[in-house]
Amino acid sequence: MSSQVKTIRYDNPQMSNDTGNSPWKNAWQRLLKNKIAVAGGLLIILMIVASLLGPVVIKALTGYTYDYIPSDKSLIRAMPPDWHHWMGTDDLGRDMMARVLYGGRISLMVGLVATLISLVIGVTYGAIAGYFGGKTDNIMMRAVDVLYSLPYIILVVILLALFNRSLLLLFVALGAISWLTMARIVRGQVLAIKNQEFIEAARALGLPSSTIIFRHIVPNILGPVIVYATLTVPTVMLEEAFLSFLGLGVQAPLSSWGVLAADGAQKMVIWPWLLIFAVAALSLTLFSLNAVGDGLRDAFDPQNAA
Amino acid sequence: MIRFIFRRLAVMGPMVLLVLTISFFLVRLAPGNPFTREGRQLPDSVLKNLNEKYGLDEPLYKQYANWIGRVLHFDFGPSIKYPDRNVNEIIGESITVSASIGIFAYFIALLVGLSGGVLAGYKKNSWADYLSSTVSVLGVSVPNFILGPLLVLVFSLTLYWLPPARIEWLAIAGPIDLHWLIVIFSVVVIAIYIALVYLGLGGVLLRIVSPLTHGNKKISYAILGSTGLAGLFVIVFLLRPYLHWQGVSFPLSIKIPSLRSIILPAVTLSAVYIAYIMRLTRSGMVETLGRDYIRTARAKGLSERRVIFVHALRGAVLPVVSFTGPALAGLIGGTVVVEKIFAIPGLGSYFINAAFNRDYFLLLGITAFVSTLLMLMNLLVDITYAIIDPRIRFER
Repeated sequence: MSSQVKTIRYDNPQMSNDTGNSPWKNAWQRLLKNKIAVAGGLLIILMIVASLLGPVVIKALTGYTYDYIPSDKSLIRAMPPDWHHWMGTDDLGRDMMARVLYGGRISLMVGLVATLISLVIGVTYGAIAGYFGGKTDNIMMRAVDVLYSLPYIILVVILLALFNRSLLLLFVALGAISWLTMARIVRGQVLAIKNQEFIEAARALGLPSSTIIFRHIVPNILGPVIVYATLTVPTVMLEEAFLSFLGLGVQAPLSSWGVLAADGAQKMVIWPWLLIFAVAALSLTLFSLNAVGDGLRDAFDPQNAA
Repeated sequence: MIRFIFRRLAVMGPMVLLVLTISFFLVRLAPGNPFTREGRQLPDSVLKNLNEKYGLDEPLYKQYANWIGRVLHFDFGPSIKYPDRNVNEIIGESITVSASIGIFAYFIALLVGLSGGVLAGYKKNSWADYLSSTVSVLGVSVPNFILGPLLVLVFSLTLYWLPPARIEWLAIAGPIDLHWLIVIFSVVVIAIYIALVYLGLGGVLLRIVSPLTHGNKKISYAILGSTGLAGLFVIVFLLRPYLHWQGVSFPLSIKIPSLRSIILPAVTLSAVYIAYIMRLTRSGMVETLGRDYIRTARAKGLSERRVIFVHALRGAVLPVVSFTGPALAGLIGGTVVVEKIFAIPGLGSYFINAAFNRDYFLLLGITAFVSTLLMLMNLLVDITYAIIDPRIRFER
């Protein structure tokens, strides 16, 4: 059914409702029609802005920071939200709003950096395997198969528990888990386009393989890569939360949504505000990222064009 | 098919060795040791004796060789933190709880996920569809260490229906020796073998046997079944002296947790899988329902129930089967969290405690055990997949 509709649209210019026919533009327009994805996108932008500017603004206005413990002993206790502390304070008297917003910085950064690592490794690896094909491809993808079936969570827990924990190690560990799927997706896409005429033309011009891969192939497979990267961010953030819950993630006094949520979960019966705001921030962000990822996937899917 | 299985088995051996090697060097090259903890400095002579006792004073390559050699005999060595028990005993004790929670969780996930996904895919864009997509996005957005305490708050601390933590034991029997483990294992393998014979592998085997039985299927199955049984008994008797050789046993305590006390942990653990399975089933269902063969099935006048559950579900369930592999891996990570929340003395909590205490042999033993188990399960999943979808077998 859908293929018939598509043929009609391509044959009859009157039938197509938009002016530009660039696939990026079409995808963008389809994305804008998806209300949940748009709302999710706006929410993510809001979260990023809030966690970047929030701690600065709060510090300028009130002097509270994520690790500010009041010198007045009577203030070192958990207080419910009031006019001074919009999200209350934790049991050390630290302002929760500053902590939640600062935690957002770290959580979002972990998600983005680890995704970036997986993006760089995965795209390079997959593109090289797919472009050269044959024996190279066979060996490289077999290696991915082997790595794929290693029990990663176990190795990551061992790595983080036994070595000195640092943010860098966390980034590397999380990025190293998630590049494998990316490499597979990229390789599949490269295989699909590498025999098209424009690649042949580039080769006929005598361009080096690296230029062909990074200037001609990679820009043409960005669609699926962006979709998968968007869905990797929430996965990584969830992994970070999981590791923080086990005490393996971000270390005190730094905070992240994972740390705050794990901490709040233990005290939620007595001091519920410790949990509510951190979890709301974490879950809303994960929800939005998933919604945007799904929306992007639908938007880039040619079967939804009709 | 048989070639496929053997090819996969041949890859598995080196992979297990690779995991063992990586984890061994990761653990042993990490700074620190199990004896000096913060605030407790042992005198050098004591430290030297302790290192000698556990063989930690030897050069690293020798320790590695010793350890690998022992593991190949199913002997995971002593535990440093729990000197009264060895690693085999700890694994044997804790695996039953973890396994029962994990299996229960995956069962819940399959039941809810499949039925929700089928309904959502069949009635696309109905309220059921929206409900299921909300549930599946919520499932991946709420971490399980939040969901667990929330469930406790509602069902134990407010409604007083279920216990908030700890396991109630229904029965404690054992420890059972490894021979019983082998018997249990054999029964499972026989069940799988029979299932294989009936599902598809039988095609090849039947062709071999059929000249003897003049094509009588019942007699052929009987012959195949009894050869399978005989083969297994041979394996068991071949393995017995080998396992008894060093007096090593794998004492498996049969501790049966009460259903009441594992409901909350299992539900907590299953949430993520419900989400994934529902989503996969829904999209698979939408895709297959648009296929021509579904129209044919309807045109033949089959009942709607038959069309959905026999024709469409078989196609829609494929991605769910291939998700089982990653799900098993995730289940292990999830178990660690859930066992911590509900204070359950399972494999996961021993693992994480061993990692913090640098209890080398316990940590490595659990890693080796779980990784091998995981790879075996993955193999089973792949075989199932190859049976359901014949295209897989002929790849490469």
